[in-house]
Amino acid sequence: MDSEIAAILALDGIASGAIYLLIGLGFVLIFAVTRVIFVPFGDIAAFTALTLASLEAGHRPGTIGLVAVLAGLAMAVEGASLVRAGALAQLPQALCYYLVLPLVPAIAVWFAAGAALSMPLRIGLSVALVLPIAPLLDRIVFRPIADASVLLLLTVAVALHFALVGLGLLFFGPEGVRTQPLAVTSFTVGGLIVNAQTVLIVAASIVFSGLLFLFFEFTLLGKALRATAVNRTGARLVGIRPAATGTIAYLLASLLATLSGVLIAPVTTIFYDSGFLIGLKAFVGAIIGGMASYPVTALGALLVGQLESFASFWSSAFKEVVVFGLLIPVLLWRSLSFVSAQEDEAEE
Amino acid sequence: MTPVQLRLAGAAAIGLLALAPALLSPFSITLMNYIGIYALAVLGLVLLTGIGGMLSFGQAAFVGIAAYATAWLTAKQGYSPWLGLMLGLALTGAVAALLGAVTLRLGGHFLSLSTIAWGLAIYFLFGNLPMLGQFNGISDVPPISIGGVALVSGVRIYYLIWLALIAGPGAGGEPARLTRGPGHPGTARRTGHGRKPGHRSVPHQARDVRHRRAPVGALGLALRPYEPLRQPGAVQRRRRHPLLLMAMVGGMNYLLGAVVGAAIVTVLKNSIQDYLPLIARGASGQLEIVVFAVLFILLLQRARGGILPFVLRYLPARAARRAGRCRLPSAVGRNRSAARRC
Repeated sequence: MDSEIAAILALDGIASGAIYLLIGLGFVLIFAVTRVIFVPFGDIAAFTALTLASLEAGHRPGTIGLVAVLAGLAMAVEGASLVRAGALAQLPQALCYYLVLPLVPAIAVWFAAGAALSMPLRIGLSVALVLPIAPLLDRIVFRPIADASVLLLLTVAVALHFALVGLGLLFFGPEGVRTQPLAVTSFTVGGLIVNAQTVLIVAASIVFSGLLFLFFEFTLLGKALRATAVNRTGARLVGIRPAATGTIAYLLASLLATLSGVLIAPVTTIFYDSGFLIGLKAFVGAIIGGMASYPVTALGALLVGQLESFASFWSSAFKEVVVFGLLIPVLLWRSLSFVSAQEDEAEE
Repeated sequence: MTPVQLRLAGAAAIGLLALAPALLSPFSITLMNYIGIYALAVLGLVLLTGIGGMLSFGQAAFVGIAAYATAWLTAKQGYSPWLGLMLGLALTGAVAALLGAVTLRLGGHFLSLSTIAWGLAIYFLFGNLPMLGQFNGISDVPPISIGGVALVSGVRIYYLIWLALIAGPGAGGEPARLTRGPGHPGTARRTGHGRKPGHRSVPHQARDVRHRRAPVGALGLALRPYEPLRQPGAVQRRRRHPLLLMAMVGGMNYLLGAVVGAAIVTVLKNSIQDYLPLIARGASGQLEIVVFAVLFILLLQRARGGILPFVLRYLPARAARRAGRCRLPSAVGRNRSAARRC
């Protein structure tokens, strides 16, 4: 391998690492606030890519049906719990949040599909359509068992992933898709050809992790999320509702996942089940960050990107083996340096 | 129920199992064989998770190691199936011991995450090694035979599977406490979720990982002649053995839960495969996994302990007290207030 190949591989690694970074931050965000290791998170990214692709092809994306079903279910669950609690006055509000709000983009996409849409509009519609999926799943699946152990939540998340993959095949079919490139130009830096797409991916991941940092540091809502992550009971005592912060965490994380879905779709062919591997690699990054530290997660995601890129040069068949094999020494290192305080806190 | 009655019930169950081939249709025996095979693998998972307190997503990888090792030695190298069985057992045990030694220092969900990781690593390894036939698997695996009689047909392998299933827990050093709760009252609590990494709990956990090898290795044996039913003469990696689902459905805290869970899920799977095409033509394959996942989530939301504790509640009080009430918190089916009452 000469230095030129190494540079190309490193560049590739940075691009995929930047994608993993966005998803990895989402993992940490959801876990910190709700203690759920949201395994189907990569599927959210894949669904965005698939939605965007079917809008490009002028079809109605299957996501519409998925969102409608989930919104109906969430409304039923929420309605039932409100009726049981005798809080009928809150029903209109619940109707607005769980049924109307998710259905607005779904209806918009229903009518817009088939028309000639500009690219920003297509991307905006896809993101808006996929965005409610994770918060709705949270309401339906995770909130009824919010007090359960991390392990139970993890098991449920794994089952949920299988359900979503099955639904993905049902709604999107088995064909892989690749969307139009967001930027087509390329330029030369020091003898190396750099695609504008790569620059865009890296820029997006820098901008959004920066925004996330600003959100956590300087807004009241961001601080409420951090407070919930530090101590749920304490947060409740000062008037923060864990359920509400959970929904916000899911929304924010979904935004990161949908964006990475939009960014990755022109570079890689996405299938209905591609989300799992993308998610798991991001997840390796998140575990390097101990599911707690955002900066270390970012570094970990970049490391995974590099490792995957170089491993695929030496043996493309074994790159997955290398990436997942990496997790074991990382976990060992974490277990030595990090006593799982969160787990203990959650248990007691 | 008194201990004597429990033992009588156990003996009656074994008697019925022995008579089953004479009473049931060949198809039911095939189904029973699948139940037995899965129950063996789930047994390892119950020992590990319900009793050892460690949740594993990588159990199917051990099944794969045993099945591939046997298939490789017999179909590719031409050795006796019995030797292949030995290799399957030994290799699975060695890998389990190695992975256990490395990962058992981890606590709680980190341990479970590591099982996802090495489960996937092993899965991709199988799909890419040329000596294991890559994505096509290994075909023409010879059946195991006793005294010149090849154990190919449903009834012949039936006895082998269920013998292994009944002997399995005993061979693992665990007396067959089939309906009792956690085997070592202290262990489940202390190791809980491997709460404090690297603490005293590790030896107990390491022993539980070694327990896996008996049931799982036996599964490799049983699967080997059985795979041909679906893939002519072949051992092939498959991603989704719903082992964890079975363990949770049956009840993680009970060895018998493995059999109950395997039976329910296998029968359910079979009937879903029968009826789904009637409801949604052409989409049944996809819907099957969705239906299973949804049922699983509902189960975990409504009955975290599985079905067996539910049934035990309706047994006479004494048996229930012996078997069910003093359940200690398991990895997934926790009920802290119940544990405190004990």
